[in-house]
Amino acid sequence: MGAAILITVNTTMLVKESTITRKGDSMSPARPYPVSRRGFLAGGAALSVGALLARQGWADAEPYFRADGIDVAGLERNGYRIRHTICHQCGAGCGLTALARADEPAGAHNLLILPNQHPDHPQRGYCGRGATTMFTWNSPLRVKNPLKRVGPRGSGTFEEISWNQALDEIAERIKGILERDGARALAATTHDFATDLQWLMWPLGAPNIVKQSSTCNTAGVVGRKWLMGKSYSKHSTVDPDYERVNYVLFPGRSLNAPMGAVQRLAQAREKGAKVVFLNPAMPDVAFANGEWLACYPGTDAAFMLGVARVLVEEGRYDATFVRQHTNLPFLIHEDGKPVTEADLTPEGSSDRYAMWDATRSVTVLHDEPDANPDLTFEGTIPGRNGPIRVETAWRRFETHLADYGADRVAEITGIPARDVIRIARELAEMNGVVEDTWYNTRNGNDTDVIMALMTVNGLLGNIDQPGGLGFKPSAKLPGILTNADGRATTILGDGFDLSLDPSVDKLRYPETNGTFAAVLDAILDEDPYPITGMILLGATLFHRDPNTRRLEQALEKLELLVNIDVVRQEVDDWSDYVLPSEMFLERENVSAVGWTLGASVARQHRITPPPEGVDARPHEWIMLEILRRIQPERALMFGYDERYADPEVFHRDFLAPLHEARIDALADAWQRDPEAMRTELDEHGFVTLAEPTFGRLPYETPFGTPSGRFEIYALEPILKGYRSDGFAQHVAPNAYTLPGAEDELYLVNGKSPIGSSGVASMAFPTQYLADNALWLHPEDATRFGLEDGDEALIEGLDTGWTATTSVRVTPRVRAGVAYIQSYVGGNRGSALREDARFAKRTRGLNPHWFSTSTVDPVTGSNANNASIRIRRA
Amino acid sequence: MARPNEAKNGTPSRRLAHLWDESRCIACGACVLACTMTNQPEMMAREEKGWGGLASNIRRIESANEQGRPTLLLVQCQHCDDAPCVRTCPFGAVYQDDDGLIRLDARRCAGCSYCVTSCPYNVRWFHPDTHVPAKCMGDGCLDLIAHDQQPACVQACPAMARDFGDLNDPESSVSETLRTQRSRRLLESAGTEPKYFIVEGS
Repeated sequence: MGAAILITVNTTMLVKESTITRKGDSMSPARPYPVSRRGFLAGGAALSVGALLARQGWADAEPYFRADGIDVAGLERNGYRIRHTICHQCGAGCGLTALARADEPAGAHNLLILPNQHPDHPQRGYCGRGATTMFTWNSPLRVKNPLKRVGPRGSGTFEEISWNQALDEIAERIKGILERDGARALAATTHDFATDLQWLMWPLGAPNIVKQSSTCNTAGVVGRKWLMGKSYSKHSTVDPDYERVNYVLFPGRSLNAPMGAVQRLAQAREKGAKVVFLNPAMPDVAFANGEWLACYPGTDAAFMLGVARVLVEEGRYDATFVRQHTNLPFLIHEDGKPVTEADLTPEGSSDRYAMWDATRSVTVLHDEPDANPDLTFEGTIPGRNGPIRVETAWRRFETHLADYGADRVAEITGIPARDVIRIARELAEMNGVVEDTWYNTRNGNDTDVIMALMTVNGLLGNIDQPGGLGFKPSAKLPGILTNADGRATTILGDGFDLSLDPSVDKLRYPETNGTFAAVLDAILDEDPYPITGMILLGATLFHRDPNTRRLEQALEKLELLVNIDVVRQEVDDWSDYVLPSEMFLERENVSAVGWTLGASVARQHRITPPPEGVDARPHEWIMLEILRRIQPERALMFGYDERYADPEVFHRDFLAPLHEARIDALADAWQRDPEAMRTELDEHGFVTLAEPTFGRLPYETPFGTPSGRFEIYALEPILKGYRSDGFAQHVAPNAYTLPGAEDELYLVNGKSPIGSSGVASMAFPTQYLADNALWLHPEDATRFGLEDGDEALIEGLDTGWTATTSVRVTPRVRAGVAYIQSYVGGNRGSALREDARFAKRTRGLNPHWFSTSTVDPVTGSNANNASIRIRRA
Repeated sequence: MARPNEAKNGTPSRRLAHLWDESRCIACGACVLACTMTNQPEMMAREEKGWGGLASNIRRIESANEQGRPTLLLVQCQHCDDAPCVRTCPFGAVYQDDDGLIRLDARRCAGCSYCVTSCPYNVRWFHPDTHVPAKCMGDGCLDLIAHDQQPACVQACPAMARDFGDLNDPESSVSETLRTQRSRRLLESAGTEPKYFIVEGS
């Protein structure tokens, strides 16, 4: 099935001198900093794909694959076609390259999918998910034609219908919802394709495109925002500078993607970097000389604050950074609020914060350049309405940390006190950094976890420096659609005036970046208003959303549910219509490359049409065809009409000009020649726009926090009334009942590089590669009388859900905790049940059977972990 | 009937060896997957029932050390210089070729399984179609080597934890690594002179 797929990773990285800048002393301007990227394997193998090309009958292509990349022109002269894309089997976006004979269509027998071969590609290589790309493309589980449910919800009984019938009926039913309940009654959700949904939702005035960030990154996004400000002052993401780290601590992250980051970390390890993982289960990558600290779930904040206390007590913090760039010198009222200039003088600003100057013994403001802030001041200062009793945030911090002595931290976390102290010392001595995490909504207390780990980073002062925490600059790639200044427009300028209400999750959870639980509440409780129709686009709800029972109840109540996906999913069984969408190999796009500290953009070419028998259509086409049936005048405002009803015409005449316009705008933003940029994108698959640069935040550019500083004492939640105290704290996990009885365990889950994604889990080989057993520590297994391979009966303490699963006895999970890999177990979809070849995929557990729908009222953060009762089946 | 790449005077010209650096391996499974894709792509869609997983010539074994800490071992044919499978094969199907690799000439194989049972490393699996024992190196990787390329597992590894080369060549990267870094071999006491080296890091 499918074409032979070749895994190749260039083992030679070119030695290259790059110029980057770093922080000098804390107030000096950024300056060039030479860094050598030395090769991994001296004399290691050059890129070599020739023999496998020969096996494909393509031996004449061999000379054009070289250690410094591919000779595209040479291949084309010899009858081959090279096309680049990025992998969408998960959100990492690693670079892929496709080779095919040019004289016939690319497809099952004429296509090799390779990792991008260019040595400078920022995310080169693929994991098990990327390696099984063609097995997803050619999966027996591809949705082939539009399906209409003919049995009751949940039954999985469908009939195939035509695209026209599907679109007509869906449009008619949406029209009914709009007329009766209004546009806000139609919701849509996705993982990666929010822009594609906007083609329909914006013209309808429907505000509820609600992603499910709350079971992924919400806690991290909010926690980082509270300490560093929104978007970190125009820098889109923050990550350790893996390539140059000396020491990196990963709280709850396994780093098995993206592959460029994996390789950069391997490179640092090669140079002697130490890598430590804080996690209830040992990540695969920890086998590579990593240290694994086996903590109890939801105790990371306690560990981090224990580390912070050691750093403070032993004077191992970066005193210059703390004084100059954090807000710990700020003066704080007794009620926890910061003292501002408005407290001191009648015309004072509430945006300027007071400090005590150690040299002059006077109150100064935080933005005064020659201030010498006193960290330890405590006393009374003159205010506009009389004396004010104050102390520095630092003094409050010392008091706060008194609760986090190593012995108490050991009790909470299960990690010996000596290790808490040792890790703190190592971090300080090796100029370490704490990774900022991603898939981090786990236990209900996660925002504090992020605040706590960022607190440690603030104390270490290893911010925006080589080997420290770095900030990714924007690639300045314009969107295909924008909604700004009250007008929705395409990149070509077509559009209309638009004013959207806040989405339903933003009404309830003010800090959220996407809480789908709010949609379920609206469906089930009509709170704050009813939602009766929903469109899913690449959203595997049952493996994404906690509390399966509640999800089922909501889906049951919906009047209309449309699922658009590449492969058959469990949620299909609850859908009224299932529409086949194009896989990324079949789609054109231009994307910013993620998870790097430089800025680069990748091109996604259409590599191949769908496999024979699969009538998949572009996401945007589906949206616009529904729109054209409901509001043709709005579709026309986007420049869309029946001329584009043929998907091929749509690709060629509608989508392609939009993507080309984005490239033109990108070139303009970087003052580059657009044709040269196109050539580079076509030839290499990517274009690098900015190398990693250090020494900017906060030394030259302030953070986006209220004070512009790194706010270890987080002011935003205080000023907004969410908290009375700005420090991270440990609170026990509050999203589930804590296990207490002899037969009770925590249940945690995480991703593996094989299969842990909505589509990769449906690639045929995944079931033979991914592990869907329940991991138990040997001590627990002995207690329960279980051995490797035995069947166990599991019951959720909060949900009451029961299921059986085979167990794997392994010391890779700490005692008292059970672990499962996410996405690869417990799929109840009818399509799997109907195909005996996928039997393994139906076994195992879905962690969301056991997790609750507890949501943090401020951040909207949800939780993935749970607690269970276990016994021998 | 000459066997492919047979050593002319009984002594291999080269002693090609695998290195696996356990201190670099991130247990991602890329080598396991690459092996199947390269050597038996037809098995990507089928379960290898003997080992209960993907039909790869590399086995992933997780266990624990005496302190209870997790351990990982990737095991494959060790290409022993004194291979029991060569000596026990009644049909001369298993032999050491001119590169020092242990190979199977399927034309001579009767499927008796003596090589399976005599191997102290348990690295063979039965192909469900041919009923011939399979192991490292598969045909795809032999092709690669014939074209002076690295085997699939070496090429696939994103952590640079694998290498392959000639022990007889003091300039080879494997010789250099073995000179400068600690390493061990599996079941040395079996006396098989394996050529699969586990590098423990410097």
